Amino acid sequence: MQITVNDKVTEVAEGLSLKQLLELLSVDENGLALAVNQRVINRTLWPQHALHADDQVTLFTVVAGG
Amino acid sequence: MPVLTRDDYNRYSRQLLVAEMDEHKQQALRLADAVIVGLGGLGCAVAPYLAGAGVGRLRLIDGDEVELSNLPRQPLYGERDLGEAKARVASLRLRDMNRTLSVQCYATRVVESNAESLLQGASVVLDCTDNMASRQLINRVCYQLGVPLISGAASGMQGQLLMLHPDQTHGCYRCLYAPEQSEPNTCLAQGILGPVVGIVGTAQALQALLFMTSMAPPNWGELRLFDGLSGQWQALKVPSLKGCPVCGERNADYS
Repeated sequence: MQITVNDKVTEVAEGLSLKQLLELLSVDENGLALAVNQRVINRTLWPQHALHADDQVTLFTVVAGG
Repeated sequence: MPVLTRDDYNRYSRQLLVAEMDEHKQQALRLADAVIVGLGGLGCAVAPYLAGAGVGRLRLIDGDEVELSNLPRQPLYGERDLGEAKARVASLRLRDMNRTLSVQCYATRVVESNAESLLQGASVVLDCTDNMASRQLINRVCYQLGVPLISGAASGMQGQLLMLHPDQTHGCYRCLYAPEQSEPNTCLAQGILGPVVGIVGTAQALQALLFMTSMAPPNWGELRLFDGLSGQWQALKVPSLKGCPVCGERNADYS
């Protein structure tokens, strides 16, 4: 199925979890946050959150400076 | 009944001309009590706009002193202020800008033991701090006290703006980030470009003014991401996390 990750179309397996997606993309989870379809998904839910076709995944970094 | 003086009409004439503004809203600003925690790049953008707009009571909180490396992005301070307490210098600048206000300065960090008394009774809290621990503490205390929180953050070329209201059903800062969710993006590690933090701070000030005047309700529960390279903003929703130790059971609605 196709999803987008930061606006880039990506082909992934059905039912892939967010945790598996990050492993697939070799993304460092350190300081990472993400949203699916413009809703933030808390990090504790990444292993159980399954992706669906056409999901829009937004990866962004934790920012705490000021 | 609005009780603006002739000087008030003169001072605030340009913002009173804005179609959505009026004397009642100006008076609402005068009666408001805004707390600004952190007087670095964010606070230096937030504070003068709130003082300039006529927010009647301002509490300025920061335990740091002015350093040379602050000057490129913290325009409330100058070279003569090096080594002085930021809260004290900032309060002098703001009083100079608008003597009709009550500006209180607290040259201290917000910590567990003083947070509640520092934030108590605020109309709104503006989180302009520079670290994860302070942000988690301020979020928790705002939820305890029921005070709306407008949180800004910036480092590198990235900015984030988050609007939270404890009475609403969205998630809180703890639902967005876990305390241990690491923090590579501090200004010390990632650097910061002055206008990036300034844009986030002025966005915080705008949201606070919209809220305090009731000109427009902020989009509570929204996280806005700013990319300094493209100049674009992106809006995300922060849902409540089931079992969140801060916003807890009453808001739990995670789907």
